[in-house]
Amino acid sequence: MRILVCVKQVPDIESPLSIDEDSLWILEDDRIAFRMNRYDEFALEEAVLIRESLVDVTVDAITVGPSRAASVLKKSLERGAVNAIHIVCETPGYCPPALTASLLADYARNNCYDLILTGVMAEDDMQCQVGPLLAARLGLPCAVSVVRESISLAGRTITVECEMEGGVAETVILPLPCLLTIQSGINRPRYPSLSNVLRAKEQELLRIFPEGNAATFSIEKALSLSYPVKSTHGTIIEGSTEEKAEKLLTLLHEKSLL
Amino acid sequence: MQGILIVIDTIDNRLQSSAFELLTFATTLASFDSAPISVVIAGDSIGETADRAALLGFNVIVIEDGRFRFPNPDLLFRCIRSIIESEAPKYICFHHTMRGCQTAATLSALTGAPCITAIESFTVTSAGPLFTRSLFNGKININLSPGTGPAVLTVLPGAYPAPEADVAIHKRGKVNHMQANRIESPYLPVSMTDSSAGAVRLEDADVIVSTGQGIGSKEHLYLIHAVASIFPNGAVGASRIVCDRKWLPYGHQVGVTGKTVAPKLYLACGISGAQQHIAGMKGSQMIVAINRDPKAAIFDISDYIIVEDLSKFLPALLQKYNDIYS
Repeated sequence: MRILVCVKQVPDIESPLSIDEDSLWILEDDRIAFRMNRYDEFALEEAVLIRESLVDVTVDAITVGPSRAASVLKKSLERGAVNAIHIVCETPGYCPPALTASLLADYARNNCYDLILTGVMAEDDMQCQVGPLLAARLGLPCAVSVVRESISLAGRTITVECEMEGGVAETVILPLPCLLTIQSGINRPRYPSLSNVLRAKEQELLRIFPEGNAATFSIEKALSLSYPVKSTHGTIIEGSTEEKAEKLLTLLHEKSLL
Repeated sequence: MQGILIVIDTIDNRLQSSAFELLTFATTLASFDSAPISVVIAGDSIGETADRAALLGFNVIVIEDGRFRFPNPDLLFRCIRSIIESEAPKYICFHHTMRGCQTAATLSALTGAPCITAIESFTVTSAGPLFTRSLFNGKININLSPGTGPAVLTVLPGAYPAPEADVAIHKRGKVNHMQANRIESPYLPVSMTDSSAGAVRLEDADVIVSTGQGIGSKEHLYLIHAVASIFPNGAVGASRIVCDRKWLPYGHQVGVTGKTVAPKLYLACGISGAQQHIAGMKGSQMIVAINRDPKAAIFDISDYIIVEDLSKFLPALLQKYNDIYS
């Protein structure tokens, strides 16, 4: 069984983020830390758990991004991926999900995966697009926001539980091959083992440089970035801890909430 | 190519709380190029909901099929693909929910139309509409243009108000039925569970005391429950990460992937203010936030700000409450 896990490098949202001179993208200076999208960590861990529970399973990790994104592939190898593929895309600025999905599809199409996993979304833009876009490009069935899965190798099916909004979940049966987007909380992503860290250090990444693409689809254009206007200016409740507590109670009492 | 097709979200034939907000979004968008609006509603017995939309003056396409008893984003996309072949709408709008995003992305890939997601607002320029969404947890906004061709759009829940149910001013829309029985789908939903049933009714609470990871550990949750219990109709909410860590069941989760709430008071305790959380509670009548980080994003949308460590503040609050009120 061959599993492909799509991972993305995102800026740490707690880093100081500012807009560049042309208002086209964020200023990528050394104050920004980059790391693996948290949702993709769950997807990778789920793939590794499947690998450990079944025989003869290969887990490949793939990313689309500039040179710096190689670090999330190294992390993936450290956490149990067997191979790592870097589709090098140096174009700065907003990267439309449709473009990412099309580059991923070009690779996946020729490599016959039984299961493709992505995070349910990326933390930086929360588009929830790359998974279902990739599935559609490959003609695969897709389930999103998966919180549990079990594979029936005999029936070539997978049964998944998809979390929806408000605590509701549905159980769905899909044929293999298929694509799942993995929701957070499905597992506990592991720390890398020493042996995997050593192996990852030595291992080469497969680097692919896509040719200038003749996109057969139209993509949205990012025209400008701006800082949101803060709509409300809240009242700061000041004083000692006890004074603040008393002021809050008085306030809530005045508003007839207590 | 004209017109706007909006796809209303239902689970188990029930309209999702924010579903009709899309009607307001589409009406606003249509007012700039007077495009006709059609509403697609799918379920296995969804006539009543379809009538409600028709009563608001919209033309409705109803897809009733046993396979829509549980949400089926795959079958839905296949149905919509056959609708757009004849209707050729310029915009197809979904809610930015898990299922909405899935169907939107699939349509976008197979029609070659761009997809703009999590729209919060738009402006109209000479080159057409420019949609605004946020990036990086709401720290930065981006303006995206779909170009001049058709586009698929997902709208962030809570970004637009639902239309007022004022039947008198509208002419009732037409209801057309579409048959899906010839459309095959490999996606087979077999059951649905509701972990929120019984225990938590966040939607009905007057006061929600909500906790983020600032509470520190599961052992400290009793403080949140204790504070919630001082209010006559209080409930406990949580951010996603609290549920991911299994400190509270997912039925407590407020946000894009949880519940959208609008209580009289939302008391946010140790919540940093991730955009996906804020989208689920910013409609609250009053927001009070307690966080030890004076730069926490939650403060940007709060009416009252308390910079404090929860482990000190909540016991002090409970002590004062006991001193004064009991």
